[in-house]
Amino acid sequence: MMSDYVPTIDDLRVKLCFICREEETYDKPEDPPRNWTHPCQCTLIAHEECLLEWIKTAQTKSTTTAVENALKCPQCGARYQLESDLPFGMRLMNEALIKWNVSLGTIGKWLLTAVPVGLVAGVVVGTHFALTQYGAYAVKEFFGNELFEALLTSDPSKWPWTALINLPLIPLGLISYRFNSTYNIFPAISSLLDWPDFQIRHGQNSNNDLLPWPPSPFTVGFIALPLTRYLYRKCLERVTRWVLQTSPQRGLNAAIEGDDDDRLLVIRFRHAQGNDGEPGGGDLRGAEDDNENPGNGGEASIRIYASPLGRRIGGALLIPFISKRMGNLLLRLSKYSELLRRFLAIRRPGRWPFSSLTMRSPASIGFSAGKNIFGQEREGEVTWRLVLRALWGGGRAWAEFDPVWWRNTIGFGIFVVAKDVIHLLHLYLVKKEFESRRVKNRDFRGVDVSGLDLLHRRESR
Amino acid sequence: MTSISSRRLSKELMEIQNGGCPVGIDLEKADDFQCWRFSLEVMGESLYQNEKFTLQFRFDQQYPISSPAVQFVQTEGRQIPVHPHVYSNGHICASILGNEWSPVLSVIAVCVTLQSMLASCREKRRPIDNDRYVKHAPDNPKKTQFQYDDDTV
Repeated sequence: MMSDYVPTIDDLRVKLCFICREEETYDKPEDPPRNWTHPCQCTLIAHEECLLEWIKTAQTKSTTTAVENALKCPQCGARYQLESDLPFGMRLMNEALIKWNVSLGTIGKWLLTAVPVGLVAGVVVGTHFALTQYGAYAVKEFFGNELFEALLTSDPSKWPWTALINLPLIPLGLISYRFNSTYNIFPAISSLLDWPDFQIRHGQNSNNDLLPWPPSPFTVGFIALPLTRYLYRKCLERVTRWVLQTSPQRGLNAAIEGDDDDRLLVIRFRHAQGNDGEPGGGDLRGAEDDNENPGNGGEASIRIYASPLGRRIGGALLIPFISKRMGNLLLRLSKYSELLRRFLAIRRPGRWPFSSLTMRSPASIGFSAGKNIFGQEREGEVTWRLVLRALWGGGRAWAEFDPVWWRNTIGFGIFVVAKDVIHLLHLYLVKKEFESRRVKNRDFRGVDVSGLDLLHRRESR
Repeated sequence: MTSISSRRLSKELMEIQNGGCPVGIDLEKADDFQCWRFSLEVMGESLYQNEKFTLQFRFDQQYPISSPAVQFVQTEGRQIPVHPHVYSNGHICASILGNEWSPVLSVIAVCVTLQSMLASCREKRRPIDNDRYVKHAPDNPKKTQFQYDDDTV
């Protein structure tokens, strides 16, 4: 009869909420009425309010398993089906919230990597800035203001991009030069990158002499200095040997190491296997005593103590400063000697061909220089002459400037020689002191002479 | 105004008083709707023959939405049962008291479940991490996140 009829919750005579255990009978409806729900496949029914509260509570504070359990019937296990009409605004906000959270997460992750990277970058940029500043200072000191203005100008925004590589390389090059006695790559890179714009600036009015004086910085830097340095070191080695009277085979390596404040001098004599030590560095090496010969058998390791390390770096970074002071000294001395003036190629004031040089930015100079080269080659100028002149004279550009760098180089050379002489003198005095040491001889005054086995006893007077 | 929890508890209490407790379970104290105590005995053959335990229920305002805090307590002459899921401070590691609590369960249902848990015990011992747990355990066992890893014991 009623086989097709499926009863619903409204057909129950008594309703019992499985959550709050409240009962409601069909003939005594509650006032106000509460919704009932039959959410599963068994006989459990509940107030909709109670069930939603149960689900909500589980979702807000429990674990995932608890949430799963709350979403299904505890008796038959059927999963509750929740319906809700999500208002458009709320859906929008939900999505916005999800997006916001996701982007927050992304930003957080990004920051996690960006902050260390930023810090490192900051350190790098800061170091780069300091090194660049030092490089510019060194160029200014060594080549003089005039050339500095022409090469770089005092406005960093006008510097060619190569300057940002070259200038920081200058201090690094100087420092590594101090630690490494072999020919160093840094200054070479430096000069190669920096000067080409300038170097190949062949005069429109050809220069008269094939070999102008002074030679170009390239000749000096790549040929003259290494050669001079090599010869000087050989020479210094011999002189040292001669002064200290040590044999080349089993040399006494005399080392004098000052401690932090140089009050205490520790003197060590070491036997070296091969050639003996060479106090003093090469010509460009040295603002301090440098007794370690890296090629020296057992002493081969570079010894880095805290204070000598500082001294070396400090000494390296002082090179431009010392060069400038020495150059200035030479400039002052040259007033009294025509020969020195000639040698240093110092111009008389007022004769500087400053006016003839149109000040252009290095980039434009390089550009025009390039054109000139090609033009000249097409005209059939002999290439080797060009190269030779470029190497030796460096074109007119160098010659047009007061060669501050030249007298600075010479000055620094003199400084190094003077320093080595002083050092050698010190070593010599130390050696003399050692050699002249005697132990003072005493008689047996105060000793009981009867206990001594004497050759023959002299009667006391 | 009576809360849902007290209304429901008064109904449960009425059912107990009218219909009585299952065998081995007795209501000992139900003066308020915060804390009830039952005595628990395992009937028939078991490792807990002739032992009687006190089971304590604590309810909050959200009962039965939130589960009761159930534990064994030491009372006169009664000890905490030695069982792999019962810590020596009386805390019980049972999923129906945590994750699997459901409002369809009742105080009596919990008592029966725990009674059968004791009855099915095959070895009297404390949980492996008993000492460590008891040292740092919160007063309310509901604050502990138990790992219900072993359903057989």
